[in-house]
Amino acid sequence: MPDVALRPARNDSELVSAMAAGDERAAAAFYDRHASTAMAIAFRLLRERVDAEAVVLEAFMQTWRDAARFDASRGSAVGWLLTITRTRALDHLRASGRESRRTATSLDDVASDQLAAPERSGHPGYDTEQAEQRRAVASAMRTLPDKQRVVIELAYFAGLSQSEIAERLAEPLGTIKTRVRLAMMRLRDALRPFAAESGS
Amino acid sequence: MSDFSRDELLDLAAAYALGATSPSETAAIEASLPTMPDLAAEISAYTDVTVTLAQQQAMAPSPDVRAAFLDGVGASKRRSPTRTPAIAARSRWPLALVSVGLAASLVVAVRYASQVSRLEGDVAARERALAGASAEAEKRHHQLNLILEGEKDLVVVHLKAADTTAGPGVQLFWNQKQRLAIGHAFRLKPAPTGRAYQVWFVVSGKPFGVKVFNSDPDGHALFEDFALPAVPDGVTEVLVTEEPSTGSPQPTSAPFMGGRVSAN
Repeated sequence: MPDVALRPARNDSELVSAMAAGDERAAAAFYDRHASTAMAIAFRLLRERVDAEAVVLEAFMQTWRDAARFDASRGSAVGWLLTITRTRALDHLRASGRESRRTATSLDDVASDQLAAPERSGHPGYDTEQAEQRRAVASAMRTLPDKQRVVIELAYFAGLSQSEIAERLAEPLGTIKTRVRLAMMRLRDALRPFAAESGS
Repeated sequence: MSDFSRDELLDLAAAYALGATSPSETAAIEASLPTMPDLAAEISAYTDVTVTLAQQQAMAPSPDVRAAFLDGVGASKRRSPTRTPAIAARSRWPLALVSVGLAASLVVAVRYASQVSRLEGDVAARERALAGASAEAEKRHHQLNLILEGEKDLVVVHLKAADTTAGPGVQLFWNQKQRLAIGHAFRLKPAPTGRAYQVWFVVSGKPFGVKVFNSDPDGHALFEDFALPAVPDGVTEVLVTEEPSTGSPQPTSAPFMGGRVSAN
């Protein structure tokens, strides 16, 4: 169950600090708060539920082991967790030789089938906020020019590097880099209010 | 010294947050983070975007994953029982030192605080070493079981290079029943930057990539998590080539090491 009760009490950085001190309850709270997001990343890349769950477990174990090394000045705790998750998932893909089959799907695809809408927290205010955030993200993605949206989908949802995207789209690397940067700037501006909340 | 200018690094912040930078770009950014707070801030802002994107697809793992995580957390604490007391001690010591300081001098207190801090660092380092050793022992135990429990289902393939005396080699232990394998490479120098080694199973004359790995600076590597075929029959040969670090769907260089698979 999502750890709604702890949200105002301990932010992510405080939870990670507590984990570094050996606080198992903090580990459980951190897991409850972000496991579903980590699972989404892992599943998006691996397309196998069992593999994705293994990656999520590995990623959270790594956050537990490395909690003392987390540096909040370099980014949010959830960003750190998702980077670990993504790296582990890509390692898994490479190890299984499935990397060449990576394809991107869009957020529109995601909403429909196997990825159910996020579970309700039981907290009406939080659920409303999440619904509003989902609408904002969908809207922000729709406002991107097609070519920019494609590079974001290939990078984030298929895990391709800029070089791999350039190769796949048969476009110059410099062009891809520019599209990535412009798309991310637009998304950053559009999602700034929500990003500030998730980066606690 | 970074090969990237300050502006180039800042331009890469968005791609870094997306995980879309090349290994050299990633390394350059991470090396610069401690000295470029503006770069760290840029990356942090873009990372918030990627987090927000991910949150749109939240998908609960099964409850077993949570249970396994908490079991793992509990187990690691039991292996390292001094972790919490060490933290508790950290919070008590400064108070004690303040009292001492009242009676003696601030200089003495600072000196003690420094010693305490250093001792805590030593304890933390020993705890990390112990946790690492425990994890390594568990891993070796698992690997040994994999081999011992293979019995008649265990296939051992010896991969050799042209120089069979002083050249590199790989011992592959393949538990066909459990579809698990462990490889041990020796005298194999690490692949050049951006490259790695890839293991191929040859079935009906066609190679199938089953593992990408690299060796340690001492020339050894112990690797598992192979992508093994569901049916072990038909694998006649195991080969190793040098490939890009992410692996390749097909061999792009000639095999430099190989071994035949003997039927059980």
